[in-house]
Amino acid sequence: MTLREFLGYAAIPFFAYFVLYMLSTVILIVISLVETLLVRSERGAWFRPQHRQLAPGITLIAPAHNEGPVIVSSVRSFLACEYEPLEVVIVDDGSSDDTVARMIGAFDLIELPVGDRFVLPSAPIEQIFVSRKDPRLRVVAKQNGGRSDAINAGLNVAYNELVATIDSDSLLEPDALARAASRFAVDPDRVIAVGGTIRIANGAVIEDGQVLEPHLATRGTAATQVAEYLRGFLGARIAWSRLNGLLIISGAFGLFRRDLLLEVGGFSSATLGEDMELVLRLHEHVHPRQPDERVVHAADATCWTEAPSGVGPLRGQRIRWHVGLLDNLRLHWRLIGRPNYGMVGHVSTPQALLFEVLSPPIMALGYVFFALTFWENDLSWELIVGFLVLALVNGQAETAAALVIEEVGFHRYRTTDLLKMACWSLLEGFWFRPLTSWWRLKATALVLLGRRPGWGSIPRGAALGAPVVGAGIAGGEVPPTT
Amino acid sequence: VLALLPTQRGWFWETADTAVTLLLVTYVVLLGTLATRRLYVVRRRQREERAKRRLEHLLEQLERESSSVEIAAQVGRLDELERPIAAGMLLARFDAADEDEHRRLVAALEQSGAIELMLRGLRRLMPWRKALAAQLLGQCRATKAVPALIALTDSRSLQVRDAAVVALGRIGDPRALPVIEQLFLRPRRRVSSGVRFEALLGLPAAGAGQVFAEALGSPDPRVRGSACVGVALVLGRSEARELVAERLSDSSPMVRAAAADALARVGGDDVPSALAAAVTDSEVVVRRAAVRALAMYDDPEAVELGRRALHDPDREVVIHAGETLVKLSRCERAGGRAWYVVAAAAEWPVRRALVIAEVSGR
Repeated sequence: MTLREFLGYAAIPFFAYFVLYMLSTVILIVISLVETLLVRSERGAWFRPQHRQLAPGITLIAPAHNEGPVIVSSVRSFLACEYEPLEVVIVDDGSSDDTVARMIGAFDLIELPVGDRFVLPSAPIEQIFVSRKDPRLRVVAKQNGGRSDAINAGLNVAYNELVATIDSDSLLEPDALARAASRFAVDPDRVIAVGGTIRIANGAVIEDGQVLEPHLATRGTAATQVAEYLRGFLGARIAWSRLNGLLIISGAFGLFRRDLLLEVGGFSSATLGEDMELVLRLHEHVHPRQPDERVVHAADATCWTEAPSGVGPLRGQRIRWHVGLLDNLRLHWRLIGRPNYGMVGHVSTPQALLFEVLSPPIMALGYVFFALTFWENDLSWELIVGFLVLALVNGQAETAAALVIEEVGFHRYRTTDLLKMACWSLLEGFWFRPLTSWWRLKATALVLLGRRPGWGSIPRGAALGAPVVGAGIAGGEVPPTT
Repeated sequence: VLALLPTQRGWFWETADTAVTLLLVTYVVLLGTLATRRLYVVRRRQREERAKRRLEHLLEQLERESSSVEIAAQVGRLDELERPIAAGMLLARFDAADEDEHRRLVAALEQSGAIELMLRGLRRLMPWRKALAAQLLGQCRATKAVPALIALTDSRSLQVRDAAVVALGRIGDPRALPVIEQLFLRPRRRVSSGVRFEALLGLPAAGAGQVFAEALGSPDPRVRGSACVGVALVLGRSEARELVAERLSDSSPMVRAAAADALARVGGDDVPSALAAAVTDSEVVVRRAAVRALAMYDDPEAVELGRRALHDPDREVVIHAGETLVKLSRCERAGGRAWYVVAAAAEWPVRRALVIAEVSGR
């Protein structure tokens, strides 16, 4: 077989892969849209979770590291949640700034004995405080150990039936906890974890820790991510939740049964994608004894977070996400393709492997393919334009569908914001998607070479109305696309 | 773009052409849907704002002069857009009202014919409209809605079933007892957890007590657990204590823990022997609940049990033990002994409990 003939045959699998990807996206979006319409007809615009006298208690755990400028307003937003009984545990993970001092001043903290007999291992806890102003607030000061370690320390001092994990620089909507908790009430025997929708706060009007008007950010990186998050959370996760195949609950906001978290050993520090790792571990742990277990996405429970607004921080974030994904699929390879694990085994994990893990190498192979056809003087510019048009139109249709779901189900953005989003998404195919694909390829190479990126630092605070700071615990680590 | 390219046809072009055409059509349809929906919502929001202002005025009038014929006529003229808005505003008013205001508002709604409108709302097609009407009728304690609400407990919509059961609990009419009893005893996902339990609490105590007592023998541990708490809340102290204490020997740790919780609600002057045994149960969830429950028994034995629990291997148990001892130190009979233990204790759970008590003013 000549090289030319080989290249002719090689084009077929590339094209088939692309068509398969389009089909899977279309199926997910259609399911999400139908589900949103059903929920809309069920709940209407006037739905408010009914107050219950004997609701299960929630402990909200927020790890913090050098969050001094934003910590007080974040804690106020957590305490303003319309949910009872509520306990807020802020875990300071060895901050070198005045994070703890600011909380002591703002909430009149008094020290409690630390004690012993902790269930989960974590870096040593140095101090525990309780607030005189609002006894629902506890602050744990510990040595630095990373995000997972900080949450595990929080789990050790939490006492409520349900545990919500949230980044300390994120803002929860007042009814978010009640909406997420209502999923447990609907199906207490089967639901083991609930995730909320993460939206981007860059550009939004924020007052007293609450997002008043979610305006679109002016910078391209942040504005493009808004549409990307909508595609991920509304276009995909609603469908995966319906199919019972969710692989991830975003670290920025998730609600779990505390007994189960303690049973599986809490969050893992062995991976950069600890949120996905936990969900996979929960599936692996619970599914064999309870095949009808469910991990649910509560699309109407909203948490606002700040997205990286420059290319540098975005690159670091995306490389970490992809390394985390690869870590998790490697750690939980037993789930992949196993019908015993239901939808997670025979659909979601193979889908993640095919379209998340393999897409960067396939993209690279595609470039090699084009180079070879060029070398063979057989390069078809029509073919390149054809692929490009197909990819662009597919991306546009995907974004438009996500915007329709947003409009039908949630209606959060102004008309001008929707127009801006549509415009940014027209350009997305020329810079954002190739860049993120390149970073994912780089992450794959890092993993293959046995090198790992650090947690890095994302400048935060600007979008939340505070001076920009570098946060060591990468809050808002929220892969939206899985 | 593809159409403009040179006519190099083949499998790729045909498939790509079809795919792009389909995607483009989808894209245009989606954008059209988005634009239409946006226009519709913007117009609707403007109308809603106007309706809200008008309804605010109407509700004020309703609260002031409940018997006006003119108001009744205005209520009768509310259109499709205004009715759910009025319902939402009324629910907000009920939430903020004290018992007296609540009574006056219900009387005004009855006289203006609004209750009849709400009853008609139960027959709407959209589930959320039914649920809204059920919520309001529950707030109004409208006994005439009971048969319709009972019928809605079989609705296909969870939202409607939940709202109907909550409303029946609020109304507290004994006719609802058999339906809620069935929901409570066979709970598999018919209504949200806790809804049927709270509805039963709203029904006449004698009937609800009987259902809870019967449910203690249910094969479902979740039902038995809820029943323990229900018995403690509804029945008299001695009867509840006897029934619940028996469940401390249940095979399910969840039920034993619920029984210990229930005994905390019962309280008394002497610690039941079964509760004393539960303090050393093999399951940590039971020990936690049992040690917490000791605080509700003004008995020197509770102090001794609490003191021993300070050496439990579980962190939560020792924290509860510290809190229990501090609470008991304020009791009449057990106070002296408990105060001595608290004063002499060097253990961190006791020091922690003292700080918590100071902070929370307990």
